[in-house]
Amino acid sequence: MKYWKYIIFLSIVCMLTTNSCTKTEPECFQPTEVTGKLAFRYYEIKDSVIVVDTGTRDTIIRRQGDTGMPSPILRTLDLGVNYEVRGQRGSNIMTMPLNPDLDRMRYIFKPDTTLPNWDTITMSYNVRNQFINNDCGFTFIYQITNVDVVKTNFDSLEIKDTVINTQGNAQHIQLLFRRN
Amino acid sequence: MKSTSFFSFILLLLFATSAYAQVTRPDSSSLMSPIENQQLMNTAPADSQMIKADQTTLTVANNKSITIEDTFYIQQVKFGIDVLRLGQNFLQTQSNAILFNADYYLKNNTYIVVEGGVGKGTINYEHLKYTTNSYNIKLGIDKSMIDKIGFSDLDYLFFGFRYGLAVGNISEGQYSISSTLGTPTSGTIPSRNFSAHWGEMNAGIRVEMIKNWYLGWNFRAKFLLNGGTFKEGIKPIYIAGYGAADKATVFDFGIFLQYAIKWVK
Repeated sequence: MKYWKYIIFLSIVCMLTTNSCTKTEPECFQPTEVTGKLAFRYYEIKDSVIVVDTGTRDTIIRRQGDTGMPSPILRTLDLGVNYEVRGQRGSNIMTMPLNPDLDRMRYIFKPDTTLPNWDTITMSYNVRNQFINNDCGFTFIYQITNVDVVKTNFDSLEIKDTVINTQGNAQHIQLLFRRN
Repeated sequence: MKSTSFFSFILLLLFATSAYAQVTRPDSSSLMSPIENQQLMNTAPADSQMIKADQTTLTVANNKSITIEDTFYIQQVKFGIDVLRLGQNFLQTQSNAILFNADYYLKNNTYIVVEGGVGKGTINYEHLKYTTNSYNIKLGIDKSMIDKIGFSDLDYLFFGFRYGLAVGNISEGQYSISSTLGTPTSGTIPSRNFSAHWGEMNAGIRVEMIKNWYLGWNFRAKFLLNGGTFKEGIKPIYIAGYGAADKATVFDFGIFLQYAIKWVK
């Protein structure tokens, strides 16, 4: 019975060594580099409502959906070192690299590398840093203020979400392609 | 593997301390102390008797019996330290703490508990560096869930509640942010004070291993009551008495070594 006390203390020491070790290196399980997301959608006119008296179109009914690009390519402009992003065949979303030192980024884009003409997208934004957690530290997040385009290959552009942060599944800018 | 050894340890300690409490009598329960003997003899002039641990009545003059519990009871105050937390300080790099506790035995198997301590947390990564210092105090009540088997049996299995309060300081921090397109950015985060309060549920055991020395464990569930104040910006790495500030609920385990001062009233 006397040895109960020694067994208890020895077991405490043994368990301390296996249970008390903590990590010394950070374990960050989310991306800390924040990028914009460029999404591609199609739309087609299904029907329209025409006012009989005036013969004018009152309502347009259209269908939209995600669409993949044959071989999308996006390039940055006006940087000391410019970057190129190539999307996979059939992909409906691409990343847009952002520079926290600037308040505006210019890109040229083609939905298919075989097309002759480039579209130009100019995106203006505000930058600030945001704390994620101790393991990941801080990152930059962006607030889109304006987007200008010079387009030839797509029909129109929509800003879906002005805040670019660590949310990986957000779509910030959508390019709309008309099918009919 | 880590969780397996942790639960194995809990089961081993539960078994060991519970078995020890049932099989082996604490040294002080087999005989009354000289002071206790004298007090009893003063009220029982006809015959002086040695009181056994499991004795509940005492025969006094004229063969009358008095119930020991109703007439006398052992008062006790214990002072202790969390030895598990002390041991962890040598192995953990991000947090260090020392936790003390004191409890006073009321009648009806109830204890008033006061706990307190200091804690320090350190983050020292390449992209982030800051420290946290804090102090805490907790007040609570424990209730023994088992009946005493004798006059001087003060081993107990308990369930209790605590209210905890901590105040501290987050030091000035340094951070750096890397970017593929931009230049690396660094900056400082200003120092600030903070406070936290929480509720706890405790369960555990205390066993008198040798005379006046108690050993036991606590399992604690803690619920932060003002977690919303830590949602933005950097958080305290370690709040003394609670744990990491980014967790609304913390489960904890402690091993306490305590010394008891007893007297008979």
